[in-house]
Parts: sequence; structure tokens; C-alpha cells
Amino acid sequence: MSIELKKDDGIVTITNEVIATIAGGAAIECYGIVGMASKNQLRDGIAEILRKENFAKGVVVRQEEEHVHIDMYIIVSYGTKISEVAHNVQSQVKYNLEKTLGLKIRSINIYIQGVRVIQD
Amino acid sequence: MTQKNITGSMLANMVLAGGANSLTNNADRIDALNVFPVPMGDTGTNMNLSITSGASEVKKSDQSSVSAVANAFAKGLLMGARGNSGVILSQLFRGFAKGLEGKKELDIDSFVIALDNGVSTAYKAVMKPVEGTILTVAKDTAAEAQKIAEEEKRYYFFFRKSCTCF
Repeated sequence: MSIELKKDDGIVTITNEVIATIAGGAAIECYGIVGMASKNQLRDGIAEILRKENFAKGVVVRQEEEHVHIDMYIIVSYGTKISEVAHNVQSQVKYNLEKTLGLKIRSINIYIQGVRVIQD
Repeated sequence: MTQKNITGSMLANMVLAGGANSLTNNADRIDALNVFPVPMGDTGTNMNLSITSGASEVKKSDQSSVSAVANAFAKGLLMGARGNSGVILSQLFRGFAKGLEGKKELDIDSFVIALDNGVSTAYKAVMKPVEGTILTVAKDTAAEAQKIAEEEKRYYFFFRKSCTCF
């Protein structure tokens, strides 16, 4: 699966992997995020944190007609305002994809797959 | 000026009259600083909304101990956190409040420890801390405050030095 952008000089094709890596990279820079999780998580109920090369497992890119939709599966830190963290991820991912790929995103759906309690 | 300990009502006053007020008054300037992560120019507005929520909890709180005041402030910040900066602010004070848990009054040394605890709590909540943000400012302030505290035990001078070290 890939996304095609029609430009005046031809077509630019961006694979979903690329979008997933950029979206994931933008997301983990957000404050309050502990990591990306897999979409098909839950071995013994514990959400595993994905490594950078596997971000595509936690980012689903869908194209419906002209619009691009993204689903992201994340793990957040305990004790933060999770609704606000999710909102920050949405705006940051949207901004980064538009800036680097020139890709307009219609919606970014966030799935909180886990919350990590950090001992101190 | 030679005061050694901070009481609950003093801390409340520091938050309300000092911190929250100056943030409110300078929200526009902070908006103009906002270039990361998304340059929307709303950091000042977000932080102002967050700290206002924290301040209103402090107003309602029991001001007989610093611990109660700090906890109320942290709770208010958490509930009212807006934007990245607001969430970071809430984490800084969550750690700060935890660092002085159970204390009735605060001396310089425990103030510095609480400050440091705030910074480490805030750093734990992010996978990839990007330096050059408010996190860096908080970290350097806490480190500098620690140095100043080693020789200066009088509050007035301690805060004056800590605030001007940048």
C-alpha cells in the first residue's frame, strides 16, 4: 500500500512504511509518550514498546478516496493528562507529515494501548 | 529577609502572586517564543491556562503545610494541563510535590531536593527528551540552584541569585 501524490511534473509515491516511520518518530518526541505499541499487542496483556524499525506495526495508514487517515497505537506515561498528550500527538504528527511529505492528513486516531507506571 | 523556612501560606503566595501572575502577564512573550514542536504560537496561552487551573486549586487548599499546597498545585496543573508545555509543567510540579511530601515547612536544602525531583520526574515521562525546551531550562535551574544553596541559606538572596543566573 502506498500513497500517490500527483504533481505537475509527475507522480510521487510514498509507501506506508515511510509514513509510519515519520509519524512514529514525531510521536515519540511528544511529551508524555513512553513508546509506540503494536496494533496486535497483548501477549499476556502487556503492551510491548516497538523499536524504531517496527513503527509500522503501530501505525496504520488508510487512504479513502483523496483523504489520508492514520491510526496510531501508543503507550503513555502514568500521571500525565492523557487526553492532552493524545491531542499533542495528533497535532505534532499532522504538522510533521505536512512539513516533510507535503501530505494532508484528514484524521489521526489515537489508541492508547497502555500506560506505564514509572517507579521513583 | 533572613527567614530560614518557607511555610505553606508563603509557598501559596509564591505560586499565586509570583509564578501564576507573572506567567499570565507574560503569556504573549512566551507565545512568541514557541517554535517547537509545532510552531503554533500558543505556548504562553497554554501554560497560562494550565497554571491558572493550578492556582485555583491552591486558593482552595489547606495552607498550613507546604506539602498540601504543593499537592494541590500539582493536582490543579494535572487537571488543567493544556498543550505540551502544560503537561510538562504539571510533571515538574508533580515531582516537586512528591519531593516534599509530608513536610510542613521547607528549608533551602529540601527546596533544592524537591526542585531536582521535579526535574527527574519530568524527564521520565518522555522517551526522547529534546534539549533546548523548557525541560532543559528546568534542569539547569535546578542544578544552578543546588550550587547556590551550598553557600546561601537565606531565602531572599537564594532566590535572587537563582532567578538571575540566566
